[in-house]
Formats: sequence, C-alpha cells, structure tokens
Amino acid sequence: MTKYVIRRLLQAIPIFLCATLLSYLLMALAPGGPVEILAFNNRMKPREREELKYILGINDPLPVQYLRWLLGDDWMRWDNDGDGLADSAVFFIDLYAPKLNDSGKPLIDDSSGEMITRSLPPGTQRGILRGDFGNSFYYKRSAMEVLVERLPATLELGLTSFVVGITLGLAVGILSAVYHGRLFDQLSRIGAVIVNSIPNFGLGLLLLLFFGSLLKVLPLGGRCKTLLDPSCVPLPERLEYLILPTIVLAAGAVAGYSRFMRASMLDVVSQDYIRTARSKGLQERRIWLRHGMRNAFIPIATFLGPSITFLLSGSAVTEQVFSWPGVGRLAVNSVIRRDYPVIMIVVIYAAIATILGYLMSDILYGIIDPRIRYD
Amino acid sequence: MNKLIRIATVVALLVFTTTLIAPTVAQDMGSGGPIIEPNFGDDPTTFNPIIANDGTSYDVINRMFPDFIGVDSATIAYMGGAKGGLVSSWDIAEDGVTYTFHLRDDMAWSDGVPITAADVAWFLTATLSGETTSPRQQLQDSVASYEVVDDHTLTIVFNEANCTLIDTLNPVYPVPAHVYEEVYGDDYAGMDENDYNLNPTVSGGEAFVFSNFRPGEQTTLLANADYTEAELGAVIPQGWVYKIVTDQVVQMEQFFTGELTFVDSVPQANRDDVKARGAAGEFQIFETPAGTIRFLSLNIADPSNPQDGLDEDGNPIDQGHHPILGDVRVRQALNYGMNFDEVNEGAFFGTGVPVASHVRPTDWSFPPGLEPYPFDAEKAMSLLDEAGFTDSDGDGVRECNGCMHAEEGAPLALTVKTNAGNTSQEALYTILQDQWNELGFNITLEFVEFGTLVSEFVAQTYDAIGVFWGLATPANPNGIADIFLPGADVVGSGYNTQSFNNPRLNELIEDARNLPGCDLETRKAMYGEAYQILRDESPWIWISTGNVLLAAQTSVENWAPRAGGARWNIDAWTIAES
Repeated sequence: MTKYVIRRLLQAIPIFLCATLLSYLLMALAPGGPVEILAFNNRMKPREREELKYILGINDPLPVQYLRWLLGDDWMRWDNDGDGLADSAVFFIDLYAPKLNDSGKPLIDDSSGEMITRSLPPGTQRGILRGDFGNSFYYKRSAMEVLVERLPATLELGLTSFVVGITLGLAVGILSAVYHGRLFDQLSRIGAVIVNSIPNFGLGLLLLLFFGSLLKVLPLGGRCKTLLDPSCVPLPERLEYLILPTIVLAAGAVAGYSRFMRASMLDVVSQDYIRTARSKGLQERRIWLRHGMRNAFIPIATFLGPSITFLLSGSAVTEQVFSWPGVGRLAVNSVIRRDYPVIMIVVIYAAIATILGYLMSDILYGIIDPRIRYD
Repeated sequence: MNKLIRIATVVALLVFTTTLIAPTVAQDMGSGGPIIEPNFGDDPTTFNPIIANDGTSYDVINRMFPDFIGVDSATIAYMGGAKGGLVSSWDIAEDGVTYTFHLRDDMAWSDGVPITAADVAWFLTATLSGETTSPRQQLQDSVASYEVVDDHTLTIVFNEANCTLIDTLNPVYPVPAHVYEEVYGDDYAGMDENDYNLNPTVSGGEAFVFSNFRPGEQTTLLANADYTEAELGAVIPQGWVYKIVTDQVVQMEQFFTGELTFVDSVPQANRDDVKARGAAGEFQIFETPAGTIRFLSLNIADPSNPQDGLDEDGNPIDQGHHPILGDVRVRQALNYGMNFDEVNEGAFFGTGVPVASHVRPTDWSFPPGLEPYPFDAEKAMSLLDEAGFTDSDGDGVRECNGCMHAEEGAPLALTVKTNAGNTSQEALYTILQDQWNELGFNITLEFVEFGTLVSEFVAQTYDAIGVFWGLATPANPNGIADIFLPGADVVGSGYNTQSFNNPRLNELIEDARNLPGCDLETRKAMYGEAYQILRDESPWIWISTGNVLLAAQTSVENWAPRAGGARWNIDAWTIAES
C-alpha cells in the first residue's frame, strides 16, 4: 500500500504541473486583465495604468510570466553592485523599461530618436516551487497569507457538511433499500428530487428568510457574532452559525448519496452470495448490514474523493449567500478581479485536494474490498 | 422686588434648561452602543492612506484619519475648518502657485502625539517619491515642492497656477510620521508588503481609532477618547463595525431584524417597502442624490481601427468614423428615442433622475437650462431620415440610403453591451433595445462579464457600452477632461474611449481650469457651455443619476444625514439599548 501511495503521489507531480500550466494559460488568455479592473477609475491617468502593468509584471510575455510564477525572478534579473537596481539579466528578460509619457507611451529622446529607459529593480520572487506564491494584486500581500486566512472557515463548513451529508445520505440510502417500494423509500426519492431541483442560493435564501428572519431562531449569515471584540469564539459556542450553511451544502450530498447507496444496496442484495446467506438462515439484519452494506460501499467510494475535494475547496454560492469568509468566495472575487496570484494559489489548493481526494478513494477501495490489493 | 423676581425667573429657567441639556451633554464616551454598518464589498486592502486605492479601504480610513482639507457637509465644498479636516485655513500667494496651509493645533494621534505639518509632509514625501504602487500621478504632477514652516503651517508650491489645485490635494491625509518613520523608513517601494498596513497601532484625529480586522468578516474601530470635534463633547458610539454582508437580500433582512444599525444604500427592490415603513415610523430614512451616473458610451470613431487621439507632438490623429455612430444625428436620434419614464419604471423602480450631461443637478457647476432630451420618437425618426437611414425594404430595419459613413444598404445595426449580472443594467438595456428597434434600429444586446467589458471599452473596439461612473465629491467639473478630451483618447488605457474631440470643448475645459482669479461664476458659465456641447454632440447618452435611500434604525438618536455626508456627525449617534 505504501509503495502504491508513493507511486501515485509521484505520478501526481506531472498532473499537478499540467494543471497549473493550463490554469495559468486559461487565466492569462481570458479577456480583460487586472489593470482594467484595478484601475477602472477616471481619476487615474493612462500613464498610471501602464505603470501598473509593469509593477504587476503582466507586460511580460506569457511564458515569462509563468516561469516567474513557477520559478521566481530573482535569477532572471539581479543586482551585482548593491545599488538597488538590476544590472544583469538572463537573455529573455529586459533589464530596462521605457520611461512613459502622460499617454503611457514610451518617451523618445528628441535628439537621438531612441527610447528613454529606466533601470528596473532586481527580481525578488522565488516562485511557487520555492514556496513563494507571490503577492495578491488586490489585497497587496502574500497570496498564501490571504488563502490561509480563509482556510479555517472553509474547512469548518466543508468537513461538517461532509460528515452530515455522508452520514445521513448513507443511512437514508440503506433504509430506502431495506424498505424498498414502501413509504420511506418513496418519500426519500421525492425528497432527493426536490433537493436536487433547488439551487443552493435559493435554498440558502429560503432557509435564511424562514429561520433567521421570520422565526429569528438562527443567525442571518456570518460565521461569528458581530462584536467589537476581535475574537471569534470557539466552534462549539457558535454552532448556530453552522446550521444553515451546513444544511444547504449537505442537502445535495444527502440526496446524492442516498440514491447511490440505495441503488448499490439493491444491486448487492440480488447477488448470489446474499441468497446463499439467506439460505444459511442468517438473520435479515446481519445480511443487510454485514454482507450487503459493506459490499454496497465499494461503488460509493468512487464518489467520496471528489466530494472531499468539493467540500474542501469551498462553495462559492453558499459562502456568498451566508457571508461565509471561505475560499470559495475568495476564488470568485479573485477571478472577477483577475487577481492572478490568488487565483493560482486557489487552483493549486484545489488541485492538491483533488489529487488527494482521488487517492483517498483508491485507498478506500482497498480497505472496503479485500479482493483489491495494491502491492 | 421685581428685580428679585426677574433674577429668580432667570435662575429657574437656567436650572430648567440645564436639566434638559445635561443628560445629553453628560453622556459618556462610548455609551451609545456600537454602530454596525454593512459592507457589500470585500475586505479593505490597507489602512495606510498612502497606498489605499479602493473604496472599502477608504471607508475605514475616513473614520480613523482626518482629511487634509475637510469638506463642509452642508455646502459639499472644501472648506478650511470643516469638520474632519486638518486645515483650518489657507492663503494663496500672488504667484498663484504657493499655498500656505494653516493647520489646527488641537488634533492628536491615539498615542497622544499631536498631529502636525510633519505628518502631512511624510505623506507627501512618500507619495511624491514615485516609488509607492499607489496611483497618485495627478498629485505628483502638480506639486513642485512643500515645506514644513512650523508644526501647524505647511507650504505647498505647485507647478502651475490653476483653479483645481485644491481638488488635486484630495488624496492627501496626515499620517503618524513618528510611527511610519519607524515602521516603513524610506522603503516606500516595499510599503505594500508591510504587516503594519492591516494592523495599525496609531490612528486618530477622527471619531474612531483602529481596533481589529477579521479577514472576510469585519473591521472594527473604537471610539476615540481624544476626538476634539465631537458634537456632544465625546464620541458617543462605542465603536463602528464594518461588517461584510455579501448578499443584498440578506443585508436588508439583517437591517429589518435590527442586526444592522444603518444602511447607506437601500437596494432598489426594497425601496418602496423601506420608504413605506419609514413613513410609518419603523425606520429613519433619508433620500439624497447618488454619486454615480449611468451612461451609454457611443464609439464615434472607426472601431476596426482604434487610434490614439493625439500623436507624439500633440496633433490630432484621424480617427475615422464609426459607420453609424459617426453621424451626430444618429446619436441624437438615440437620445430622442429614449422614453425615460418607461425606463425609470421598468429598470429603476421609479428612482432614476434623468441627466442631460456629465453633471448632477446638485453640483455647483450645473447650468440653468441644461435639459435632458425629451422623448420624441417622431423627431428621432426624422433625424434618422435626415442622416440617410431609411427602411427601403419594409422589414422594419433601416438601411443606409445616402448616409454619411456606412456602406450603401448597410443596416442600422448596433451592438450594445453592458455588464452581466447587474439586473438593473440588464433591464435598462432590454427596454432601450425595444424602444430603439421601434425607430428602425437593429440593436443586438450582449451582457458581458465586467472585466471583459472593460477591456473592450478601453480597446475602443465596441459600438456602444453601458456602465456606471462615479462622480467626484465635491464635484470637480474639470474631471471631464479625463473622459472627453483627446489627451485621454489612448487606446488600451485612456477613458476617452469614444474618441470624442471637439475643439471648443477642449478650449473651454482648459480655460475654465486656468482662469486667472478663478471666478466661480465665470467658470460656471464655461463649464455650462461645455456641458451643453456634450449634450448636443452626445458622445455618451447620459441616462440617469438617481437617488440613494439611506435608512437607520429608530433606535439611533442624532442620525441627521446630509447630502454632503451621511456620517458627518457619526460621533453623536446614540444607539439606544434594544
């Protein structure tokens, strides 16, 4: 098993790099750039907008931008004499930038007809492979810091929803199979269709309006009580804030898992070995739980990995409706602003979560199904 | 005896009056509960005014740093001695470029250090270094030098005399130099990355001081014990919480349930309800003109070959002509063909206010007699006929039959784009599409993601793009230079994206800016003529400004918003215990 895990992790490296490259390309080639958004202000002059492109490094060719993000730029342009300005650079990097006129165009020396240039500072970025994820264009600080600030909220909500979703989903699925064709089964089927038909934002708003506004028994969004005090009390003391977003996120999971589990259980109980168990005179309960459920889990494990990825990456819609300060909301805002460093760190986070999620699914197969051996 | 009675009466009156006033005056600092205000946007990016560049950051900074020059909330104009401003008065030397600012001597930072000219100088030194990442070109281009004369006197010398120099100083704030020097030193370029930006230890000069910041959730300020301008002698609210609420429906529900103290812009969908409940005494409400204008920018130049407005020597570059919008009669026809009442009801819930040009009716430079185009479909159609666009094949869409710039037979077709996801914008242009198609246009409507829309806007490759625009407060009519003068027609980064160039307008804007003596009435007349030109030439269709509706809980005493500022007396707001 250990060898298998190591092999899978090694295989994940090129997948991870491809994912970052594709994401970077998609992001950078999308119409509209960060300057258009950050500088959509008529008080700013054309020169300022052009300067901003140099500051953010988005004037460079795309491969250079990607290399800088991946490997940093401290090796691309450096300062030998310690005057704070770069005096050496690799062949594909400019050592100088043009001075700009008020229109943001390069200034030309009237006498020589040549472009007037200025020295650039040396590169300071180390690149993601050396742990430097760059600074957010919008938040003006480390993209890693921005992500880390949002992770606890997303993990809190994601894990709670996952546990609730899978527990209820599997239980409802098993019971639906046990009571196949009876009232419980019919009700759970109708419930699943209804839940799947309501979009998360609609369900979230309905719940907020009913429990928060009408009954006033649960808070209207947020993660902690609004206080002058900076602290957010520990989770057990503010569970009421988790209830509604958890219901919204878990509802879909319950609906999905219950259907899969029901179908899987029904498939298993029609197998020969179940018939054999029955003919041996085993109790129905033992047949369902010991022989049926364990085998029915195998196809379910396929969905566990992607579910974990989804829940760890945050749900932008739910976080938006509930003003939940998580990664999903951060990701959407960053895409709207074209905040490349933050978009990319979220992509990396999601890519790692995906790779680990699928790996977890495969490991689960091995645990649930004794026929599967990885070594 | 009479004298005795008179004295007794006066004493009795004094005692009575004192009894009435005393409970108010004697209120303790922070006794009025916290103000919780929703933030519909994102986190503030910094609490350092030198590098701030987003509205949310300024929302917080303005509560905890004084302005350099305050704005009088009654007249909405810069004024020495205005509440919240460090400058008590200023003198202009005869050369017209040397301004001497006299500063108040009663303001102090939260650590007790007085706020002085050195604090303003620190801001200027950092900003004028050109090393910070903050966009302050206007300031950098205008200020030649500055000198701290003494603790409370600062001289600024500008590069040239003109009538907008005070506006230029709008981004200037005093910053605690004694702290900034220690924290940032002279590393202005590295200022962005300093942790102090979001964890300031010293603020002051305003009603609140910084307390804490919870990313993604809220920013909290506390009452400033040393605030010297408090209406009631001390800052009454315990603090101010700027709480992120990312959904407008939820935001209003939080207000209805009393979780929020105050909402500074009630969404259009809730206005009637809030107004009715306000009239019934359930809330306090206040309506005031909005700071934004909705417009449709019409590309006058050839969209297939965008060009800068001026060459390197400042000479105009031929822009070509938009095949349809290059003719002013078509642009005017679009104006005449807009039924504002229908638009107002259908898209703005009746809250829109028609505008004729790039000026709000409340701005000082608004000229009498500047009227929006009336709805006149007949006039619109006759203008189109005159422009050579007629419907020769009877399909309802006009074609070029002797028009100025389009090919013969080309349909009168335009693509109008606006930002996707904004329901009022989408409703507005859907209605306008119908109205204009009735005239014989063939309008294609596209709702585009905002970033993509802006990139097309600055690339100048569009027919017509509709967005919002914020107007400066106090109004700076010279701002139209950045939108309608050829110097701002820079493909990819200028905002004269419609490539408008009218020599008379250019002259008026320059003259109004540089008028010797800066006589306000003369300047007003000049800007008035400029607005009239813009209205008649229609490089934009100015659609609407609007009123914003502010609402506060009835538990907030002393809530007295003005057009020039909803929070001008925030230090006196008293939130009764609920």
